[in-house]
Amino acid sequence: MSDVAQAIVTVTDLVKRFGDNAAVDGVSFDILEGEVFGLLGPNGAGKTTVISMISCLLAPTSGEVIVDGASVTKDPRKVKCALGVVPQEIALYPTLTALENLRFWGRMYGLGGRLLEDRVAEALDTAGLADRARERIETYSGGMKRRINIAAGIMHHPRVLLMDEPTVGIDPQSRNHILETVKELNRRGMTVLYTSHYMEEVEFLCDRVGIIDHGKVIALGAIDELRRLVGDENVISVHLSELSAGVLDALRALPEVDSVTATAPADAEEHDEDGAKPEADESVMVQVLSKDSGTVIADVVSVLGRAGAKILSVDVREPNLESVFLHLTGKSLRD
Amino acid sequence: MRWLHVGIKDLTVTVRDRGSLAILIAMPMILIVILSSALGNLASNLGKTPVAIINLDQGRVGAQVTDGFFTDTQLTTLFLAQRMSDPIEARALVAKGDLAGALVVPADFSRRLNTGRSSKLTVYTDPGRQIAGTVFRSVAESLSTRVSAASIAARTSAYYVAPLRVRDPGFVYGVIGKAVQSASDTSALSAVQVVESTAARGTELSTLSYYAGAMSVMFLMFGAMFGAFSLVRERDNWTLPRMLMSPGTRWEILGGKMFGVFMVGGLQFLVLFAFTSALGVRWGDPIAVGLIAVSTVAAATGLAIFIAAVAKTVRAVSGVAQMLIQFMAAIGGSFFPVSQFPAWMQPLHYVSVNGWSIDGILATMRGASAVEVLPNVAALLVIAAVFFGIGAWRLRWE
Repeated sequence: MSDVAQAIVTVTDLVKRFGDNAAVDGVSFDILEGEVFGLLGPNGAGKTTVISMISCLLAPTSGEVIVDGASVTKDPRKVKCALGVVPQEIALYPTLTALENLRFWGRMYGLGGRLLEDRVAEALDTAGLADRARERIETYSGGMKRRINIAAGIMHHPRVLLMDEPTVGIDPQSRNHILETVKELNRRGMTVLYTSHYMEEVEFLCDRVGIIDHGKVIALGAIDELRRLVGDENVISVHLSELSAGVLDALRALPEVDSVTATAPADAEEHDEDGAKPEADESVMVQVLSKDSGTVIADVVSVLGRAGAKILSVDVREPNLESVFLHLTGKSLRD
Repeated sequence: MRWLHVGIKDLTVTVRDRGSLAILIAMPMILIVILSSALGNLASNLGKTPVAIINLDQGRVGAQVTDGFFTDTQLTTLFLAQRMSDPIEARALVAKGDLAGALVVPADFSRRLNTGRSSKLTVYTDPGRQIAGTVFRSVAESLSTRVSAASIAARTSAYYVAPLRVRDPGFVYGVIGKAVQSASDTSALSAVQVVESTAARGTELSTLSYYAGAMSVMFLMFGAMFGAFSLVRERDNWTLPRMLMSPGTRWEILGGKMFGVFMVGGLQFLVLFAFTSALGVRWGDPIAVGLIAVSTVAAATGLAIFIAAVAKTVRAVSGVAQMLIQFMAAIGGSFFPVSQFPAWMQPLHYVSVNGWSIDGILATMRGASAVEVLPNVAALLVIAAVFFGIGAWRLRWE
């Protein structure tokens, strides 16, 4: 990323209301040319609504978005030409082949003739699916569909790529391929806005991050800057086979404990190769935020032992974006 | 040209979907064959024959000829007669196939017969219903024979009895009987002539021909349902929002969707046209058939947008579409000919796409030219515009 990078996307005081409900409530941020900017927040935080307004799908209730010098309200066509969009859903035609899908989406961006064929070949190469291009999308695994979903968004070489939760519901191998693809696209000069509720992905990819909750950006900056918001608090993660009543309150009552949350373990959201969820897992991940993790960890294990909880694993981590979110909102990203 | 790419993509997606093809192409083929085989000759099997009686005569003889159609048990079993006053209108209805025949009694009928002159009854028949037309003409001839006999009897009795000033009734009846006997003479029967005129040119319409048109139109409407499915599914599957995030305008995308529905409908009609033609159906003037087909497919395209706007989900599309399509098919004549409906119900077929379209197709099968079906074409295009206008106005994009 250049030291003198200019903002290629400017979002100013953006608001979107659906009736009385403000899905997006005064969001502002810049995306610098050449960076990967992350928008991190739990499901329902307003990430997709922000992307929909930047991509001219939804009209803002108020506020302004400028993309590559053009306003989304005044010059949407220019904005659309500068953007590539990878929706959260697999927005492809299942009975058409990958080749037919890519040709169609390329034509929608004005590509044709030799250029279209070259770009289709390039996109298939990026997706790593050139050898299966003539197979129908309905025969693909969840991860392969996601890769073609991304390929369809980059055919016209957009200046800015909007990626809305592109790894939802796929296997780890496909997720890694997608993350490496994003890195590669960024190396080629593409600016990326990447939304996710997976902290690890955002930490891996992004130069700067905006943390969004209830339609508001609650923190914004480089990842190290955000980590410093937490100070020297560490996260004690305890994986339990099940959660007994009253355990969380008992943990919160411990001295030196700042906050406690319980969520499904991250790997409970993993999916198999076809994107299907595995069998129900009743285990729980309890996260305890404390500045004195060395002392508190013994008390935490003691409380859990008295409650009869079966501990599967215990882990102490340095501050990360998850702990930043926990620190700012008192809840987990996966709540 | 984005609309073209969207349309071609939709056509490809539809052609790849075997379920859609089975409903849009195979089902009408099967139904055409089954219905035409099961129902045979519609004119002889589907109830009373609708006819019009126009009595312009003010005298008693005209009433004697026409009253039988409303009072005689045998005639009321055969015919569903309605009194009309305008012979031209009656002839037009026969020409359109709404009536199987019409009988016109001229204004001076009684006066001419009473003064010993000959007169004429005019019968219009539908060449598309030869059996019903022949029966109707035979009945008219029979009635004319009776009138002729009565006329001669009256004239004979008057001739013999009046100068004699006879007071014996038996003598009078004897004379009249003699007169009636003389009425059986062949030359005397020509006092009343039946002049038959076919109301339209063309060939007889078989049940196969009827259902070829009727079922094709009904399943073109099902094409509209699949068009609406496509729009709503694209909205749910995010391919429509993705198109909206591309540089194409809403009108380009909607135009493409409509073009897709239109092409699917056109292809569907061509296949059904070829299939029924191979079975022996003669559709008539290709230009007239083409005009009716194009305007019907246009109406189906408008209907697709309308249904997609009214119904927000795929399930709702199915419900709304089936209700609309079945209603229009029922009142428009896709199941049974409109002429078999009660008189009060027949005009209702004009509120449906099916009514105007089947009307036009049957006219072309009877030999109508492109110019003659223009009113049907215009009505179908107006329906298309109304459906499209409401649909485009109410369509939910996001």
